[in-house]
Amino acid sequence: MDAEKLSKRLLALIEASGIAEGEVYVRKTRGLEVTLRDQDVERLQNTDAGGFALRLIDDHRMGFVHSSDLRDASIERAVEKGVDLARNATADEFNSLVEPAPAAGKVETYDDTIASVEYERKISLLKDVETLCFAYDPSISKIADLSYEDSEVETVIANTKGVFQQSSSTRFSVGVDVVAERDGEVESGGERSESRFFEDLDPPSRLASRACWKATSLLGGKTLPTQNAPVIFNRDTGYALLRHLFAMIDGRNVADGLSLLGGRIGEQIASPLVTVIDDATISGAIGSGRFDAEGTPSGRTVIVDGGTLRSFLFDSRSGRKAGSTTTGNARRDGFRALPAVGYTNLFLEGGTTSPDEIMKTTESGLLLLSLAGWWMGINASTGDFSSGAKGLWIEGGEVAHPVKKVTIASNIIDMLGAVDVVGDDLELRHAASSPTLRIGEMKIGGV
Amino acid sequence: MMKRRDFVKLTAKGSIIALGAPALLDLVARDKLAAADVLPPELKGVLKAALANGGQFADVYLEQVDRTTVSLAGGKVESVECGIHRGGGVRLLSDWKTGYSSCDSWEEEELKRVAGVASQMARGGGEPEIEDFTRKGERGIVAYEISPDEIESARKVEIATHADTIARAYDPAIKQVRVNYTDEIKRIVVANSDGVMVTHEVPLVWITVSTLAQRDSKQQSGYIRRSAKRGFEYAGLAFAEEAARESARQAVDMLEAGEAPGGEIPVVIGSGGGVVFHEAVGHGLEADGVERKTSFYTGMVGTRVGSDLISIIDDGSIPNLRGSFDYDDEGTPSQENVLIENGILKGYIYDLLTAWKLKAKPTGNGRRQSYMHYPMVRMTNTHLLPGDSKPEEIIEATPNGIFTRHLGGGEVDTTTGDFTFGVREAYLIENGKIGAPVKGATLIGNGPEILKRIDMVGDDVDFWPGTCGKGQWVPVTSGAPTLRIASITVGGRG
Ligand SMILES: [Zn+2]
Repeated sequence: MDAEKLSKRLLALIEASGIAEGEVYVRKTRGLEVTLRDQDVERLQNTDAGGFALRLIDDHRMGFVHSSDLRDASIERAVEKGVDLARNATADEFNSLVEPAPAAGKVETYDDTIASVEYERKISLLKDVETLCFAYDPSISKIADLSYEDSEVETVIANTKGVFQQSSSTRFSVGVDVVAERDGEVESGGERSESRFFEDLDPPSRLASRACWKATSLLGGKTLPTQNAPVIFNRDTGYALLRHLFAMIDGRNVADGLSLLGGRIGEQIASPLVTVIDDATISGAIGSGRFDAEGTPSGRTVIVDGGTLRSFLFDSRSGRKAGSTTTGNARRDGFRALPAVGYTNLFLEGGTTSPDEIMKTTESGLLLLSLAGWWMGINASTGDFSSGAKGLWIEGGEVAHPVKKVTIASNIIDMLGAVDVVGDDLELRHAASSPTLRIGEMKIGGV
Repeated sequence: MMKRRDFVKLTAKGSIIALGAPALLDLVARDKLAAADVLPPELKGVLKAALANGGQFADVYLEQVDRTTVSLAGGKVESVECGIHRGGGVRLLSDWKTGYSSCDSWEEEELKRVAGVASQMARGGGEPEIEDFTRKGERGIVAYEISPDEIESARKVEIATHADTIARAYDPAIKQVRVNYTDEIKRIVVANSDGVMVTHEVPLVWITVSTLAQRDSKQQSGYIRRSAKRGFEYAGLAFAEEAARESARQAVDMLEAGEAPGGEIPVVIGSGGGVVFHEAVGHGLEADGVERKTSFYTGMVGTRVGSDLISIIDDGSIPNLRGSFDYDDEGTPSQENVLIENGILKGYIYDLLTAWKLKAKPTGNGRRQSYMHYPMVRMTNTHLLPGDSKPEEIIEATPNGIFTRHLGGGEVDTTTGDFTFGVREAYLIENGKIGAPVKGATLIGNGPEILKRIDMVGDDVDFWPGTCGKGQWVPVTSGAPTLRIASITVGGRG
């Protein structure tokens, strides 16, 4: 399938149909996934997939059609169907497509070595991770999962208002989950590296040692008495705060009156130490791109600046509805989903204190190593935060013992307000990234 | 980051991932015939291509999904969505290694090409025989009356709009409503080198109603989902009305909620809380983790894993439930599988690969998210059998604790058995009576431990729909009667 040709053919069919506005989104993916076990490939998967989606709007009524069936007759029927759906929908005055705008500058998201990195190199990377994990400590008994993935995605977005954007991007990832056992006790730990460029993947030594450290350092953990105490989120757990915050700055929730932060632009909503940014223009970062899923050029949005709420994230529809404008944050989960608001590279800006120093200055508190179920309570209207937690208990600035079987609970706004120190260890390794930070007080539920 | 963790996602947006849509074409009907009458010789050619470099087994999976979705927010229809998804995947097994490749087509030539890609995993050793196909017929487990294909989109818009109207009319405190209505028909063909051939048609209807209630400075949300493997006959106005009213009630009733307590306390789970067993037990009994020896239930068949009150079943053959089907995505008939009987572990659930590796019988649990995904061991409808207690007796017998009326999603680490699940709607129990609503509770525990702490089981089983994630998403239900956990850690702020 030639994505450009297909999009032009669809656009021509839309124009011939007489509908007022139309948009074509074409996406083509090629992917590889390899799972390793006992130094041998256990599963090899190749995916070649693609398809298109059409948003057709007539008098603010919208029809959305998507298909992976690229036979001529099917393509024609898809356009007809979309027109029919739009005309049978009811009007929503915020339904409209985006106008063309000059593209952002260069944003590197494509590794042209993807075709030339030998398969053997990918396998040997996995083999090294496996070997290093078992060598890490005798307590590492099993590897639950060890896999490599890469993919290449080509996208075309075109609409009847003149938008025509085309791009290609690559993505690489390696993940490992290990099991540590000692005296009948079992713990697990995992690490994943993802990048736009093959060479930016973490080396096997870092993947292995990080995963094994997490699992082994939780062995011997015990619960805590129920209490209020400071909680330190590190780089592995801090993203949970950002994901909760995102629900409240998601323009769709704001526009629909569902966000606790709606109407609070300019207000102090967090500690002065908190600055949160979404930036799609960072070359090589996993969430970057030249334009968003509607063809709006990407940008950088300061969301919270020194604790003050500055902006929400919008796609075009939610921007219109909220009386604002798109921030270039339309996102699609593949061609089968309608655009929705998403973050690109969402991060909490780093501070000046080293993670070590943060621990040393904690009289007593919980250093969180892993969270479970933190995503279940995400609710833009209430901001309640509650999660299962594991980590290390800090006493007098030092690790006293591992902790398990506890919960942590608070409210996301209270938590952001109670950030009393921010670490200097921010790395943009995933789409949502946080440095180490400490929350002055949270409820810890144990016995 | 959460790759190995398995979880049921019960939230609205994005829960039903990926697959497509509805009712495009008369082509569909023609392709359906083709699946039954034309394809077998071609599929044999595809399997031959997969086995060209050796290997022990090959299968081909063809799928077409036609889906319609109506999304409504703020009283307005945001979009009416239609999609068609059509493609195939070919798998080769060679010395327990899997090669898998897929394409967006049912064309013989394309399928042979991807079969060639899958065949690269072959470890040599002659070309195996391909058995003649024996076609298995429909079993009627997910039979439906009215195909959603045949219903105009305007009627589906009407259903969504009606849900919005009913929710708003419930109480003036209801300020925002979102409705998502989806129906689909999935048509699959499975054929393998052992001669199994299945064609199967699976309907699905799904509605979610999210509400926001505001009063004074307080706000709370409600969220209800209803789903079944049924046709449009299930999707009438009454169906929308019930979901809308319940969602609005939940939001309004929770407006006055205080903070849930924290710490270890007794919890009564209202009927429908089967997600507890899905997480605490089900994932650990999927044979892939057992085969890798990473599941905490490895090697424990025949041993006591819970109190006498605990009997747990996974059953993909219960008529028309969201987790049901005639045949799984490898062509194995669905069946009732007893996992735990009166506290004793009886067995695991398997797909073909794990059954062969562990010398067991396939149990009809080989499922995939779509043709782009290889089959894995997955749950279907997982439920705790009812006991003798009346729900009200269980509450009366509990001097203090929490009663959960609606659970949210859950998550489990299958290695340690540690699970977490969220609570949407809960109430304090004071002196054996249900008291004030509380919010913000998360329950954590350990699967094997919690099974031993269940000390009362009611007679009122209810099934709730969910979407289970394990790297791939599949529709499931989980069922349970009212039950009491003598003590469990609650992560509230109070
Ligand atoms: Zn699950």
